Amino acid sequence: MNREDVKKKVIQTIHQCAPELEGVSMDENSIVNTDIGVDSMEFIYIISKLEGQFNMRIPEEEWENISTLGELVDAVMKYANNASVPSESSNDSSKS
Amino acid sequence: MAAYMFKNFHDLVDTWKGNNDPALEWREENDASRNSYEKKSITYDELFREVQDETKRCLRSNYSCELIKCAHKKEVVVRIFADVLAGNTIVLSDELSSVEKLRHEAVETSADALFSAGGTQSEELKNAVFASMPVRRSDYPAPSDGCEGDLIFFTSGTSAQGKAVVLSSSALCSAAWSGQSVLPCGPTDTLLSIIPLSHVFGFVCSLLWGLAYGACVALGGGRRHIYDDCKFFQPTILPIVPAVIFHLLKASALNDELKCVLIGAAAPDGQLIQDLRDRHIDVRLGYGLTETGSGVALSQTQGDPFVLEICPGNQVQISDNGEVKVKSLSLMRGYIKKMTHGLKINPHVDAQGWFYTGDLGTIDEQGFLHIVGRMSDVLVLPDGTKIPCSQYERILSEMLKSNEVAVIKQNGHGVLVVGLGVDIDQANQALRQFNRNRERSQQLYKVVEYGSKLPRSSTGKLQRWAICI
Repeated sequence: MNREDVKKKVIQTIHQCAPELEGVSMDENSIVNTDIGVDSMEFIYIISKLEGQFNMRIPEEEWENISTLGELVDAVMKYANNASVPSESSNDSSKS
Repeated sequence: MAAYMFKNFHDLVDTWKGNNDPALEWREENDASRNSYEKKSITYDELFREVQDETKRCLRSNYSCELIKCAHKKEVVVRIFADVLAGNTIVLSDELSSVEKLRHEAVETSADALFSAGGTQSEELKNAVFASMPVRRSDYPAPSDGCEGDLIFFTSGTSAQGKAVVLSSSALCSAAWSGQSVLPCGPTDTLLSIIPLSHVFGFVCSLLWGLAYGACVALGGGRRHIYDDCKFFQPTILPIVPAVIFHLLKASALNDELKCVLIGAAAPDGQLIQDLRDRHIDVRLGYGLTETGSGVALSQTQGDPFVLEICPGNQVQISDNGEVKVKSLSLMRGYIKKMTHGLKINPHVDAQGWFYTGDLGTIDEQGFLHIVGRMSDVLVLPDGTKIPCSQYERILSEMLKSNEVAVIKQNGHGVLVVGLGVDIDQANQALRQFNRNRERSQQLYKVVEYGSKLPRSSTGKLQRWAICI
């Protein structure tokens, strides 16, 4: 998956976790905790969904460093590097 | 049958001996790469033994006031009880506390040791926190009980640093008893502990209450697992704050076995309560402060959730200016006050023993308490975060070179309202800069243009309440 594909999937996940943001334009610099209406709990939800979808784990210490959509995409790219990405319809979580 | 009120932690821990019911549950990772977990547990009897062994270690130690990073881990629970039984005072700090915050808390409380359930990382952290501090024995005043240590909680406060509140173990046992008298739990219950144990609501309602009355306390897996802890542990009782339960409900993360949600720290909106009741969940709202050892009053199963019944062990009156005042068996010993030499514990009650809460309230003809708001101008967000409006406004006024700024609450968030003459782009830029230096929970959500001058009193005082956006 290239960066654009990952970005598309991250935006899709944000919309899935916060449906009220459908139609809100987002770019690389959009702040994904307050600016576009994602609060800290939704942010955690988005991260956990992405981790399930990309079968990877972003260390918690790094969460605080993720502010923008671009940084979130970078983190997914970094940690999903060697993981195979499931299809759109696949289940998002294998936890517990 | 009336609940038994434990005198202190010794009295409580002794009852665990020989009890083979599960006391604590937690998750353990099978294989990190597959995100798979296994449920582990410990019985009350095993917990008793672990606490006894740890107490011996604590007794051999050379500290008297220990800072504990309160992760939801068995080791932390054991250490909390062991330290108190060994006569050490403990300071409960958030599991996500930075080194700076831990240093501040150590200085304020005269803590001379640190416990963190983190193996070698724990040693590194200890060195970082106490680096360049003079080596000294804690000068924390003698605990109230002669043999048991006190517990210190920091209030969330109106600024970055809250007050250090000293509670005895007997006061906290009274708080657990008070809750049990109106909302009993028992061995058939699993109580999910996911709110911070460093807050007195989290400590009493999501740990001590369960362990005092025989429930199994499931220790949540931290932020990462907040959305799947309910399905994993299948709790029957969930103590929680409004912002978190709102999201858990929205994400369909609640389990079918959940029968009671105890909401504290801030008032939820009516719709959230109704949505939970529609799932046949008993929703209870608790009112209390760190200083009162958590619960003073609790809402009823049915009816208006904002009508609160005073819990046993508490007396509540309304002072002439409408302020709620409390006398309680679980009242704090006092706030820590730093003196030139050592520390003092300032009780902060009037001559008759009343503690003034700073909340505005009324008591109706049936004796039920209704909380109206805060006397100060602090915004309390649904997750319990406190936003100090005046302080924020001062900073933002300076940044924008205008006094046409106000900080108010909108839809559960703190927002910046700018009046006529303030450029919206500049305001957005200023807010980004303002938020950058703050923890996420302390940030303001967005800028709102007011379109005219902000409303003020005849003396020029900002009237936040009159701002309609």
